Amino acid sequence: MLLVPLIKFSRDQLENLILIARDMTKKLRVTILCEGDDDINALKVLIDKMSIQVSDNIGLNDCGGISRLEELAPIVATLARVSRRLEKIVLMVDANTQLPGQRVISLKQSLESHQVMIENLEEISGSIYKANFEKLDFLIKIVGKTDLPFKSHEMEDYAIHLLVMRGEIEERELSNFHKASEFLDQYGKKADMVIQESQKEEIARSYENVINLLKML
Amino acid sequence: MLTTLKINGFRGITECKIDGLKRINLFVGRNNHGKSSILEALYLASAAFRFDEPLKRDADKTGANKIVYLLNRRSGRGLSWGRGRETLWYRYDTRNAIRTEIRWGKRKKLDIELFDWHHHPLIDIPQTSRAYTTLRTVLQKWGLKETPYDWQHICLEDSAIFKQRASYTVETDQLLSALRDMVSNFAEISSFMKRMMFIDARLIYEMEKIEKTLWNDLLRERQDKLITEILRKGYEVNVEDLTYMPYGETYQLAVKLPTTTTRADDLGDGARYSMIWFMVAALARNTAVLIEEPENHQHPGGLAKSLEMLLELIKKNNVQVFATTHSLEFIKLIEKIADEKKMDLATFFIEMDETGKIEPRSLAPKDSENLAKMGLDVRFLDII
Repeated sequence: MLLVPLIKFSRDQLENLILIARDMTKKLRVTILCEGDDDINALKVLIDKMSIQVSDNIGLNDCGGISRLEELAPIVATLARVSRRLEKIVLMVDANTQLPGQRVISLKQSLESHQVMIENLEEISGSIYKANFEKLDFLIKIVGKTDLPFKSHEMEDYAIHLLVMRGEIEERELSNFHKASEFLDQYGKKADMVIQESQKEEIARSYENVINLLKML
Repeated sequence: MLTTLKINGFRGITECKIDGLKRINLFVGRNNHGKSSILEALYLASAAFRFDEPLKRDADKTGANKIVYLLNRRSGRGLSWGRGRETLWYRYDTRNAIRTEIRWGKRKKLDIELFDWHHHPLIDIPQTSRAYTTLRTVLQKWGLKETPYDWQHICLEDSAIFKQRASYTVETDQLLSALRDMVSNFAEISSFMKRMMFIDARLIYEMEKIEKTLWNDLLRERQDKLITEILRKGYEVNVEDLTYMPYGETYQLAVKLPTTTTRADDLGDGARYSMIWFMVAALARNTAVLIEEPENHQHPGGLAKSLEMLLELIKKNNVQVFATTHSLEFIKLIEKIADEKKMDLATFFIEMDETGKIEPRSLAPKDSENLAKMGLDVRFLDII
């Protein structure tokens, strides 16, 4: 049972239409843009499992397939320009092959090229950045654990960290994989499943920064 | 082309400003948030330039004109200026004028006002020294000693100038000459406003009036060929030609098919509505066409073909389009076709707050596409 009304927008337009049309009262204060359905599912389970209290309706937008910042930036720019009720836009951006500091600067430059001049960009916690654009707050989380032996880093890194911590897998098993999701695919588990079957204390350690971010909403 | 529209005190709207109007303008939003009122406000403003209703709608009611049409088009209750005019005013409070400001670019603008005490919308006299100089010449010619600053409005229909409720009739030529001096390109603006047409959902049941008022002109320009083409291409009706056939003591527009002839009235709703768009749009030149929910009764196939031909027509005839819609299919189709034909298009999300204020959100086609990538539907923009 979820504690907060999370509104998940999928890439299925009909599904979204039915979701919103059936409840005309839905208004969003915060929206979280993720890079895929698996990330959204992981966040939902994380909020539920860790009993994270957030104060209002939160939208979870699946921007699956959009991993390049040049593609993400115009979407964020549109959202920033046309929204009136949103107070916060949360971007969960895979670190990929960059360090978080480099990645967030790349994102800032991409947004600027679409006339979204974010200001006061600062790191407020482990790879969580805050910035402003007009009345909007941006929270940017560069996701991925760069200490894991993958070439590219992403949200699934935290699930891998959990599996390693629980002793279910060993780090040396990861060496042949380019990124965490590839390993999980072969392993036959999704990140949300890994979270679901883990203890709170373990999740708190692996997902510490993501949990911190969610608590800010 | 109109670039800005401002509305005050009309229907449910206390205040609304729409900037950045394009060749094609779509208004989307939830029910009861003022989309249709925006079209009506434009039509009301056009009544300052041409008062009679060009399609003779509500001609059977007291004084067939655009005001009577606007009073009755929603309810059909036979309202007149004397009985029911307050329904045009915000919360039926007629103490203040209904105002519409229309702009062509940054400099050219006209304010149109409708007062409780005069049934024609009036053109506000611009607060510029040039306007007053011109007006002084007019006043002096007619032997009036008052300062021009006291005269605030012009009624084209009555050829009069107004000082609050007091009016003074002047020669039409003199008045038009003064207006031309006061507002650059007045002739062009006036012509644009005069020719404005309103295609609303009710028209589908008024084929007879449209035939009577437009068919002569359509035939003279051989635009009947266009109507035949749209029926063939959009609705797969194997039309050979259009004709008139006797029906009782009158004649009715009919469609000649290979083996029979059928009345236009007996075509399906989608084909008839599309015929109506084209009968009206085919004659529009250098003006605006207001269309209420063009998607009504339309199969996507018929809609796509109709839109393709409509956009071709309005591009050729230099027509600006203002349309309300609830259809995502319509938005996607028209965005695509407008892009192919290199025509500017803007979508405005219309949301009215509890005080009647509308601050439209303007979206370029790319914005709709970006929102869709996030799973957001442009019609539900109010959630964010």
